[in-house]
Amino acid sequence: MKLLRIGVILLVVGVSLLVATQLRAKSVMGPLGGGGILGPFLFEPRETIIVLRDSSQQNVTVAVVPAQAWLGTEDPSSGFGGTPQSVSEATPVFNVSGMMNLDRVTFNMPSRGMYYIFVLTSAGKPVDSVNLVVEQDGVAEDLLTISAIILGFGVAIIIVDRVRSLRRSRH
Amino acid sequence: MTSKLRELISWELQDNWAFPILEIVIAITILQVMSINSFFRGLNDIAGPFFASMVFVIAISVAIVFGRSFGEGIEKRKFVVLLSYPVSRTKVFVAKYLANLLAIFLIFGSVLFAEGLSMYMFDDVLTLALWGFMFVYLLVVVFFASSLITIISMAVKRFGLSVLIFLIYVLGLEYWLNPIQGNVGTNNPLAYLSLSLGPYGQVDYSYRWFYNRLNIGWFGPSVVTETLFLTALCYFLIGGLVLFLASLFLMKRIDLD
Repeated sequence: MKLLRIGVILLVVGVSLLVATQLRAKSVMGPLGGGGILGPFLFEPRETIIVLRDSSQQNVTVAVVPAQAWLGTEDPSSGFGGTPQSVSEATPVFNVSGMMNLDRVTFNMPSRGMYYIFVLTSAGKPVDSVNLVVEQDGVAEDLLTISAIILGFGVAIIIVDRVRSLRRSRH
Repeated sequence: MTSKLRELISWELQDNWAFPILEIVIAITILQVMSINSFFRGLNDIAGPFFASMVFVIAISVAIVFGRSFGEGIEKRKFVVLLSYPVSRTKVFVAKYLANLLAIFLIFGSVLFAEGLSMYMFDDVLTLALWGFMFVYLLVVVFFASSLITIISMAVKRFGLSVLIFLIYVLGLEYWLNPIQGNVGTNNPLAYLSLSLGPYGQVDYSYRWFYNRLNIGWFGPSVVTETLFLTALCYFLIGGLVLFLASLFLMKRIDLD
């Protein structure tokens, strides 16, 4: 009976996580003032799509730099602005210029870790306000795998328990 | 812990958390918490949506678990059966309360831990501190809600009625105190009596205080002042303690027949 309960609980956890993963796989939007943190990745990063929904200035540059390589002292979460020099010194893993509203770009993160994302105007200043959609399937895919494994374990335990009880009832 | 208390706790877990209560609580907690996603790990990106989602989870879970344990316990005379054994009323009350509180918090804490892992919150000291504050104030708000439903259940002695009163109070207050409704602003102490804004305000204040102590820059001022922080903390912590003691007092005096 205890084994069956454990199986049912694992099944519930797996199914709930599966549904929650579908819900969290939606696009993430965030109004930024020049920069922000990009991440996290649970296991390994995968393809990332950035859509420039709305920006106060046109023709902007979007750059993604590794957090460890960033030499600035300001906190990215409080809306700092990098300069083209400081961004290039930090060797961005991704850099695209001339982006207009509703433009979308796709790139691959090279490794697991934290990254800072910068949105600069053509004059090299941080944009006043920007609304980005950052779509990243990596975490969702990882969670999907985890939930499928938990669900599988739950189903296996329930089957084992039922088979055992059937055998017992025959004897 | 005495063996009798352990036995009572074990009995309570088997009886009150029987299928499908545990499964329902786990499912709604995972669905509400794990669906929160943000690429930015600031205070507003994680703590805000987390406590907003947790209101429904806390209200439903605590109402079902504690309402069943105390309200249904009196209604279906389970207390009378328990007290026919050589155990005091205080021991029965403490065992029931402790078992349910710890079980609920174990589920909430585990899901918060999983969410923290998926949001990369254990990587640096700032996000770790944010996670820690969220964990602590979650415990405080769960303690308050548990004490509230316990005293309502003990007073009305009915499961359904106690759950109804509890949900009307909690969700009604949530609706009325929501800044979107415009009844109270975020600088009004009353707003921090809500189950979402209250703990969020406490996390906001504590996190800013911690950040500014690290001397890595200045985290700008927030709408949550010391007065608002203390209002929320006193309401949830001292309020919860008063309600818990009042429930214990009621347990000793209540007519269970």
